[in-house]
Amino acid sequence: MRLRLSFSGSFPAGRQIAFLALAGAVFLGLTRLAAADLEDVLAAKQLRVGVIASEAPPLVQTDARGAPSGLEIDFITEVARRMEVSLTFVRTARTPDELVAQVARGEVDAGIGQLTDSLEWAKSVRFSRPYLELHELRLVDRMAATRAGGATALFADPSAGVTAATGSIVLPALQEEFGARLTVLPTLAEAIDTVLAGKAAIVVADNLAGSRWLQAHPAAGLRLQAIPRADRRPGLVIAVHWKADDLQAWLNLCIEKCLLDGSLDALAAKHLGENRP
Amino acid sequence: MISRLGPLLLSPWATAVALVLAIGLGLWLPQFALALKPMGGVYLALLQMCSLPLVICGVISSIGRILRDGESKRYLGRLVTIVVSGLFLTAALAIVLGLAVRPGSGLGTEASQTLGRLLSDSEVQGVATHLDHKAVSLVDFLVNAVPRNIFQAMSQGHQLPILFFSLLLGVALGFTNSLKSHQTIESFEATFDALLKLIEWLLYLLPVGLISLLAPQIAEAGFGVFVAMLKLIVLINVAAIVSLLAGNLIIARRTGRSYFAVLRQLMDTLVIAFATKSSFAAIPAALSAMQRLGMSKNTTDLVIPLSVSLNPIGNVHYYTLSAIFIAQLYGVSIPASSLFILLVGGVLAAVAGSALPSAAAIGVISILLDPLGLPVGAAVILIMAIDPFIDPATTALNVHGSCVATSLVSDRSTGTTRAPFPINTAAANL
Amino acid sequence: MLFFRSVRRLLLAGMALAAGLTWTRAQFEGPPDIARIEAAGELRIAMTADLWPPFFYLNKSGELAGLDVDLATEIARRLGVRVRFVREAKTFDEIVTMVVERRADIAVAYLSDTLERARLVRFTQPYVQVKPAVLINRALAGAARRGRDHRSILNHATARIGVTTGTSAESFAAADYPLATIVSYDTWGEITRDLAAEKLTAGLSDEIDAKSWQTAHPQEAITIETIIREGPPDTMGIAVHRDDPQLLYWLNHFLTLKHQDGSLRQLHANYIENDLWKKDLQ
Repeated sequence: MRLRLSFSGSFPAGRQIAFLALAGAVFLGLTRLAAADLEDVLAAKQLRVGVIASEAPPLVQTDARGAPSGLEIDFITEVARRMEVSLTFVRTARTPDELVAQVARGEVDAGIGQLTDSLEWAKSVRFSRPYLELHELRLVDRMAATRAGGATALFADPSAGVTAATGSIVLPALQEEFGARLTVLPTLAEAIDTVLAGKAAIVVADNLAGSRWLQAHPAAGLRLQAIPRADRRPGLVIAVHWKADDLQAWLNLCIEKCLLDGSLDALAAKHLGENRP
Repeated sequence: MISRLGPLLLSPWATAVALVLAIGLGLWLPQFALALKPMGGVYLALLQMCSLPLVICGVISSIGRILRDGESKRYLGRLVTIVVSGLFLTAALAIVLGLAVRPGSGLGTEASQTLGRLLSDSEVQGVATHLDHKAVSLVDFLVNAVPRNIFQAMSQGHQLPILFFSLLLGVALGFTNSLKSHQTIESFEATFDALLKLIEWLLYLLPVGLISLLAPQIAEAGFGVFVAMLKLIVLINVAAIVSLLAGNLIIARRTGRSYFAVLRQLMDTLVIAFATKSSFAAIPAALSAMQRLGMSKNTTDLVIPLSVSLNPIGNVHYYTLSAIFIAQLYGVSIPASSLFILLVGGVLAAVAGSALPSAAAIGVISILLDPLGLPVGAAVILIMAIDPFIDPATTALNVHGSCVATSLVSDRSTGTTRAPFPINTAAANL
Repeated sequence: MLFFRSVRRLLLAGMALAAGLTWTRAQFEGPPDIARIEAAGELRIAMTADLWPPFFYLNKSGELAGLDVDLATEIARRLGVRVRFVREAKTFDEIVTMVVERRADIAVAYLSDTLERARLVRFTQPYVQVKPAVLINRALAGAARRGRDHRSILNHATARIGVTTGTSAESFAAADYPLATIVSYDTWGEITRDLAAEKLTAGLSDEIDAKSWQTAHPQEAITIETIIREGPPDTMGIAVHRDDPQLLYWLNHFLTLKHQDGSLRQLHANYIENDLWKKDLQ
């Protein structure tokens, strides 16, 4: 029997058209669900950006109307403007790990939100070059440091516990350095409270989150010594699908231009004030 | 007119007026006060310009003379006893006061926040330089006392090496029994007298100098920290004043003058030390004051410079009370066994810190803090912040304490301040 | 007939749907190159059968050790798999073939990232570099040496320069000394033998070979001069199959991190600048 695609016959025309339309829509939808490189984004005139759902001021916040705001949001908005496409935010990932998985699955075109180019994540996605460098800020219990004979000795002491917050940009390097000594807690406040309660000696955060907390709790400066680590500079990056070479290359060029023409400096000044790197 | 103006400028009333004016300007006209800063810098430079050569000449000539005239044996023993007991007695007083008044406990919320903010801000900016502090050891101190290049030490104003060299040279000259060595001693003495004259001229400008030195300091001082650590600041200043007034009694008794006469003579000295925060700059004034009080010239010229470096009782209050403050702030108890550490540490830190400029000197507090297990980094930042409020009084005490030591070591001069030059040098054997 | 038509349509629609889903599902999976290595549980490193200290050699316990061994072991650890060294290649060029034919996943083996090899495989950024060296027979180079640099002596019709087959020195020699006769040998040992016997004017290799030869034959310095050439160094890179782009990206990222934290510098110091590793040599 020859296979003939004939739609005449018992099915009325309306239903045939509807059926075609449905199949077309499903197919197109499936296409769009797939990994999008630069030309797909440009063709669709839309950039779908995944953002972490949690709050990480001043990088990622929520404004009064419930829309995402903050330095990273402002930056990706500028990127989309230069790409001349519209921007859609998908804000369902609760942690950076989930966000990276979203990008790897192609559910979004790009991911932003306290992402750094860690080696572990680089197995499944591609990263742009860093567009903003933060650095580590370590808060150390002064008495513990004095007992150990100095902060450096304390870092090397295997019995000194280290805490950090989930999703913090400093985590990849910390896991590498401290391994089992590291305890990850849901928020920075909890991580610091653990140290203040005497259960750990060191808490590590990025300089933005760390100095924000210190400004809100100045008396803690008596108990905790703040040690900025200029040698650990995790950078904020944009994640794209591992197949999206062209998009990655275009983003790198865009970042370079934003660095040169001062727009990134302006963003840093606006959001970070005197904390700017 | 100048002859009438002269004594007026030198009188204590002029000084008092100047003090009040300085404080007033600093508090209410800070911009004007800051504009005066260069003038104060010049005055201080003039004083220091004379001090250093004066100390060198004074020490060399006086010890040369003492050795030559055979008086040394008495002095040395007495000096050591006085210095050691003076230091330890002051340390004991500081400990008693600190434990009784408890400056570091019961810090209010606002004070905690001010201090905490001070610490965090310094550390986050990466300004704190004493992160992993290397303790200043006594061996370092002794090694640093010997100058490899005396001219370099002189050009950098390192007091201890300069003293060391001057002492040795003076001793050598005293032992060398030739006409030339005597002439050299005399030359040093002549230079000394000339410099002293210079200083006396500068003292006419003291009221002006005082205003231009003190007013900017008050204008620049950070008062937030002042309030937070008020207890400690007041305690150190009170301790210094108490020691000073007590010491003054000793001088009065030894010189046979009235208590207030002594104080009057020493007023210039104390004011210079207070305003310049440099004990060296105040030495020349101290020398002439002690001589006017009738002390033997040789002793004064030797003991005061030595004592300022090796018997800095003001520093003892500074470091010991600061250490007690830190211990109380961090809730570290001071059991009886630690009292000994405080006593000895306070004395060692005071002596070690006397040779260094105040910014670097604060690091010596680790001599006290390390054995007690207290955080040095925090201590350095906090104490440096209140240094402008406690350095003046403790410096004044350092100088005054040297005057006390002098009065105890020397015998009352019997009128002639200078022994006639003995051409027959047979007497000059020890 | 009606029944079949509807079934046919259904079948067609179903097939279209299935095809679409399979295709999109393929997008959902991670990069295949990394997935393949993770599934195999091991990373296969292509190397030569010969040993090349200090890059890879046998230590006193009979295990493979050296700069490349350290680096490859670290790479496998970060990927979360075992490391296996596949030492089958007879020449350096054959290492490249091993990667192309997928007899190994990557090559970390004292492999210079030459342009010829880069036509067949992809190279990461360099992870170490060695300086080229030339050993010159003083007698043959002759009196003409006086005042002239070695390049002009060697780039001469009468010069005979020895290189080892399948090494980058082969390509350097041809490029740098076009007028000379380039003679290919199987081993460096043969080159030095002929050099001493005055059958060659010079031998071309790198500072590693030159230094080890110098240590073994100090007395020969009278007749044979060693020059560690300044100028472009010989750079070593990791070779990756052309169809493994994410693996290449990841390896480059890994090397960048190792550059930044100074560990590549440390590797260079441990194995190339110092001789401490020789104590462990079998």
